[in-house]
Amino acid sequence: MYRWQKVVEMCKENNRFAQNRLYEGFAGRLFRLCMRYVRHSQDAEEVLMNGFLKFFKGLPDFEYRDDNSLEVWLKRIMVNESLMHLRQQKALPVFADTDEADSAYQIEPPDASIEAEAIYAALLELPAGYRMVFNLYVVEGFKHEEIAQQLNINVGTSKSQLSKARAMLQQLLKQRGYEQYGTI
Amino acid sequence: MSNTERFDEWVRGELDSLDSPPENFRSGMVWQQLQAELHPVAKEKPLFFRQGKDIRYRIAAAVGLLLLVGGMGWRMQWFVGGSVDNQVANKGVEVLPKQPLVTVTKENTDLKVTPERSIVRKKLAVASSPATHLAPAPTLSETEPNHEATLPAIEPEPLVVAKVEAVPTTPEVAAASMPEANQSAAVKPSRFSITKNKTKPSFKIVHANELADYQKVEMAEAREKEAKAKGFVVINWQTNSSNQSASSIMRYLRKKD
Repeated sequence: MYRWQKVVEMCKENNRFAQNRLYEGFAGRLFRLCMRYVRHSQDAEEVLMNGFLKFFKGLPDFEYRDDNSLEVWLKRIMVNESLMHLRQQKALPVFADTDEADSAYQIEPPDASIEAEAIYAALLELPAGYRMVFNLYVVEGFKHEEIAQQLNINVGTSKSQLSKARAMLQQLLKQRGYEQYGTI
Repeated sequence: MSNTERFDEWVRGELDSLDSPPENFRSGMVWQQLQAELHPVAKEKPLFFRQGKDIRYRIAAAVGLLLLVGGMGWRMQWFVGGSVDNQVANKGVEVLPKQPLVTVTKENTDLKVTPERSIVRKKLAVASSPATHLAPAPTLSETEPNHEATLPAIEPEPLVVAKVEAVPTTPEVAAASMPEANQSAAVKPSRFSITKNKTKPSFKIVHANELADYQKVEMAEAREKEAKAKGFVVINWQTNSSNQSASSIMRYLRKKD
């Protein structure tokens, strides 16, 4: 028996207590996910609410396998909602078509002393285009083809945006005191 | 693994480890909005429809239970009321537990009728009092041997009903107290529906009042004879002149004498 299996079954029966428990269990993490895309907290809350609404309404069709599949599905819903929100707000970034190689920027190995909150804060400071491609590729695990399809851009543009996002993130972390990353 | 891949994996792992919500996250407000979206119909529906089928089943069960309890209560009241009435009716009645008030047996053809029996029959024939009217018409009943029918006491007014037992050699007439209603009940054919009527009745149901009247008449006559023997003049020897039954029987007895 997985941790969330019983809760999911009760949520399928429209049980409010189970819905609240599942919401409390994932809301914080998913809010951060939404914040990485839409950046503003109020927009992130709206996206989060719509995402949970879709999740609970589509739960009868959801086939529970394990807790990881539940979290992946929730994250996917939130990402789609975030992108939809940006489209509706016409806030999607404009990408310049460049085909710069991914190896144009040298990335140094990470420093384990860097706290997660610092990475999160630095990520939020990235430009929208960089941040979006970096989130989709690095954090969510999308491929460049999927990112290109989602954002209606070329695959090369996605790759170049990702390279620039990595370089800028390292630069931001260096500015925050992590000198070992050096210069790009 | 290249530095790029290691960097990506490190960032992913660090971000996944962030479980705590940020300070600017208003979790409660989002949950309230989410609840309003998830259960919008439940707040608008009235109480009866809010619970869906459950409340309807509960209401139906409650109505059924109420009807059941009400029906039982009504039956209990009816039963207790009836038993109380019977108790009140039997209060002043002297009950003969084992001896039936009226015993109906098969008529014996070689039955010898004693003078007492003939007197009773004659008295019944000429009785014209209201109490006599309550008594059933003389009927000859033929039933199975040892078949006994008892008259239940229903109304409180006590009356005395004569019990006539048919004994082959010496039939006896016994008196037993019985409410007046038994007379009316005795009139009802339903109580004696098990018997077959014949043209010649063999047993009579005599009202006790008639026997009492007869005794009174005898006593009055005795007093009158005694007074005549002693040379007294008896005035109002009849104790109850308003009693039509007594007067009629008296007239009959006088005629007979």
